[in-house]
Amino acid sequence: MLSNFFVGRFYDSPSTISKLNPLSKMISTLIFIVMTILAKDLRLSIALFSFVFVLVLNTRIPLRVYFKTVWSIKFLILFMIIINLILKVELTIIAITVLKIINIVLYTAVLTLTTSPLLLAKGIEKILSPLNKLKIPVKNMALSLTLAIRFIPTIINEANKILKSQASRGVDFYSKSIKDKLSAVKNLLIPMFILSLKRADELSLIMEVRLFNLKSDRTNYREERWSFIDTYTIFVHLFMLVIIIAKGII
Amino acid sequence: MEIRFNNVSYEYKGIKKSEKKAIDNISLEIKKNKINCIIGPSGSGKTTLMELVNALLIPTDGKINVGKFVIDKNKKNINVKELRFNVGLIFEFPEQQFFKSTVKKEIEFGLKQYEYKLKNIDKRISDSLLMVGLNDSFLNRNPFTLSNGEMRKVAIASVLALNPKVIIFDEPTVGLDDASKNNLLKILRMLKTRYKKTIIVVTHDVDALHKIADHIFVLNDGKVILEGDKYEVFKEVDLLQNYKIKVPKIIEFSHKVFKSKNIKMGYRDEINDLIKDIYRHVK
Amino acid sequence: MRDIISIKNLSFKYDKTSIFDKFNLNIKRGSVTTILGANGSGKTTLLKLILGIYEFDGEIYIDNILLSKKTKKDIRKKIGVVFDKPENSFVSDIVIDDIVFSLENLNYSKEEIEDRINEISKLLNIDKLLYKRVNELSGGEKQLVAIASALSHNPEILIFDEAFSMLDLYTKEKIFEVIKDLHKKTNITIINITHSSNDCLYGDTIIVLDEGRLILKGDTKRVLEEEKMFEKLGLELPFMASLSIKLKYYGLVDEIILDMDEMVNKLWK
Repeated sequence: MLSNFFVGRFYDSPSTISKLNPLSKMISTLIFIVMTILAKDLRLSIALFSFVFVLVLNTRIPLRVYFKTVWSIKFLILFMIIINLILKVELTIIAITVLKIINIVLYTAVLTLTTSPLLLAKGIEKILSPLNKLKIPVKNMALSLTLAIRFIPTIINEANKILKSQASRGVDFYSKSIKDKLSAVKNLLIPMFILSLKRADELSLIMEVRLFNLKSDRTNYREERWSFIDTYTIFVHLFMLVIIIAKGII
Repeated sequence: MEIRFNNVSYEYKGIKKSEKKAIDNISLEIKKNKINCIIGPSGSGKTTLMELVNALLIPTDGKINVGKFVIDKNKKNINVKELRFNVGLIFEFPEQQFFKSTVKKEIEFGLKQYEYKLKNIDKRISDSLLMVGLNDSFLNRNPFTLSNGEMRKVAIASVLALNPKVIIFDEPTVGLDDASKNNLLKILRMLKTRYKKTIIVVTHDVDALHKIADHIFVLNDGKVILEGDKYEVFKEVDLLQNYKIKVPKIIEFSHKVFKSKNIKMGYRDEINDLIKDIYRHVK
Repeated sequence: MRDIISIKNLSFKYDKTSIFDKFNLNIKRGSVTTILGANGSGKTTLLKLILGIYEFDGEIYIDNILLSKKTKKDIRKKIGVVFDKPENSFVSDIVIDDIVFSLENLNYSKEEIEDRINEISKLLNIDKLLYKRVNELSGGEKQLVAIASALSHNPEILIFDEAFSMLDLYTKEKIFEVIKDLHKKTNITIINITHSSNDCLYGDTIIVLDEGRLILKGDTKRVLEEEKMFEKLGLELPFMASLSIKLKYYGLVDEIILDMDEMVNKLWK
């Protein structure tokens, strides 16, 4: 439950979008963010919102999940509205700003809810792979990222167990005093840290046993396939971007 | 201290609506001053049951009586801290939760949560070390430098220091070698007979519990499918096999003799008694 | 050569404590050996030494190759290891990604990897598990996947390091059946490092270690007769071994019998 929240809130629901190559999804996300920032009038922002909404419906994930996402940044939105009102900004401009934020949040939610975090890591590795030519160890950083993501549920389980056993020894987690809260955090961090060190040790042994090495090339067996829909998706986004830029110039 | 489950159910709340009930309408009574063992395959609900007893989880249905405490979803203001003072819980691999630099501080931790007076603390700590077969020479040692068996004992001592009436152990023998295992079983027995505690052991180590169990509850899919003393439970070899639970080897052997040669030897839990039976029946 | 692992005069110190002192050991090719010892007997250190993790004095030959910094990588290709907590050794959340990890590291082609996966799936019967998430698997299934991952690069030696201590007896027996079947089909050398003497029943050779010394070595049945030594070392004998020894005193059997059905038939002809 808690781990589901942290691991990018991946919601395992099959849909057209979830089957897209993670790289095309990430590129599209970047293009969309640029578009949203550039769109300067209300109609465009509403048009973009309807575009995102269509995507949201396509994912077949319950709307309440998306609502919760937007709801979680309500204070940021409120803050923006208040600042803008104080600066006597026009109401339409405020509406555009709020819509922009919502558009970006919803679009990235579509990305994270339809792409497992490990695939996201692979996507990031692909995007950064040209840096390999500059001798930057992208492959190894990607592996570290993948392992970190892969172990988040394990780490959360361990934290839960430690908290439960401390609760069983009389620790009161609902106490209001700052001293107690700090103490509770410290008492959790120490065993977690030691467990992490042990795990790092074990993992380095496992990497050696599984023949991982820093220097040579490695195959990527389950490379995500690139299909016509992926190219089409990027093309559509680029097309929309061009229109928005053109509108801005004309 | 009485512990009774009355039509208790527990469902884990997940993102997706269709969650199976981890505990499905269980009613049982833990036998006082005895070693109660809870066995069952993975996913049968053993850990959930354990966490319900000291209110780490609140039942979604039904109520649990633990001494004067009543745990149910409508009673919001139960004094959990006091409950946990009386019901100690020791998780699997308890040594993974160490966070103090000396054994003394680790054992003290629980006592300090309950604001014990300083005079009593030192004696309590020494007593709890004795209960697990260690002594004061361990007090200033760093818990992380101890052997597996010793670490396990210190973790147990730190819960025993609160002198709970009921102690729950989750897989206490896992990861220990034979000698440490036998040692630990001796400690459990002593806690029952000398210190008059009520012990609950959740485990799948059937051979170990055969040596100490007074009463056994067999769980599967959140329900109690069999309960009784070890004779009543382990004689149901075929039933348990269907639930993927193995019985102690000595029982399996007698069962095989009965099935293939139709010779009924008594239920023997000591190998020497079995030998005598075999001798009588062969000659 | 008959011995697939040959250790000669191994000496090793860790933190100024001597763990092994002129230690010798041979393991026969194709055998199923149980290395039995209490915690602290040095068994896990031995594994790490064989894998070339530490530097040591003496000689270790794996499949006739002398272990050194240069040959470390080639030697590791011949060994597959299954550890005790499978969830800590998975590198990915989908089963197939974990199994192919070693092959990806060795830069096998995609076709070679595909062939190997088909071979292993058939061998261990894990076809249905390939695309499942690792945390959806039961304890036994996780260990099966760990075995598949260890076998993926086709090693000649498969080592289990306390790999069964967390499993319940039923699952453990099922996994041992899979391992027995695997051994029959491939004649791979299997080493089971454990502190649980019941595991001895599944091998043909037993080696007992205590504080870095080789105490007992030989055929399973012969070693299990040494009840006094087992008692001295604080190790329990498996039930069938204890039973056989006691029945021997009464003259009801004349050797160690480890299979229950065989014993019943011997006693009541």
